[in-house]
Amino acid sequence: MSGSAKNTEVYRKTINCFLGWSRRNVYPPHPNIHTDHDFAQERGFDSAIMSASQVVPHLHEALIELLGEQIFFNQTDIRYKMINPVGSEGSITIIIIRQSPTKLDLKVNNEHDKLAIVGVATIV
Amino acid sequence: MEKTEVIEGVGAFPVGHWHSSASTQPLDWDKITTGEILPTVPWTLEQYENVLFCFFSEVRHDRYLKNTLSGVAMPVTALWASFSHLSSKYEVGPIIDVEHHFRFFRNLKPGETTVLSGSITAKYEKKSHFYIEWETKCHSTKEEQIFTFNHTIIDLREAS
Repeated sequence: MSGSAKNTEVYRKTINCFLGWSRRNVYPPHPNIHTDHDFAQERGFDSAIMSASQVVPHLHEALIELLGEQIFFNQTDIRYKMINPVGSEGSITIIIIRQSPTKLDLKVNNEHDKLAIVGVATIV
Repeated sequence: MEKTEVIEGVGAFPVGHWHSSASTQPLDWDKITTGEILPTVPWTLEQYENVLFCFFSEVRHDRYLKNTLSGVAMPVTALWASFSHLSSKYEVGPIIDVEHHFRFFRNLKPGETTVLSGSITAKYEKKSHFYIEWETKCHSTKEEQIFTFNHTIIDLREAS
């Protein structure tokens, strides 16, 4: 990981979302908030929302890009909470801030610049 | 909004649910207990499934897409293993995915046979939401640790 200062932003990337695959999912539990705009809107969302399993791979990739495969897959402790939805036609911005040589703050903002995912990665 | 044509079979994504069987019971928050042992089950992520995960999330990296013995499974497959593990005992209904806490001891290789084991680690009610936490440990058939995954969900059950 390059740089050594504390509280330094070491990664930022914005990715446009998509949901083309899931909209065609005809299998139960369809319709759901990830597969159907009408269903999601009836439950208070602006539109269908991304599932965590579509968003978090990009956070994992950011960490692998930053740390390298060898460190990521060698007991790096990764913990995060999903706290706000990401719209299926919105975007995510991944931000990683180094708190110390072994601790990284993880943030993913949604298209409204609200925190969608927050967590910590600790390098062993 | 324009309606998308539904094409039977397109978009099927059954990865992680192959342990469901006649003995699988609906997840009932009232009956589940902290410390309850989840079944120990064999679990193999095939390379085509790894590619499906790439497609699903639009992460396209050679480390996942090459079809060789040195291939690497996407880390998110551990999340799917976790759901698969819970599904080995319970038919999971509508949920909200809340928290993931995991670490790999080495990368998972597509096609390798692994074993999932673990238990329910907590259940609690908070602000009228019904939380369940469980841990899934993934080992090789030679007892080598591959990853641990601690998972928290909200069960969207009706309050009784």
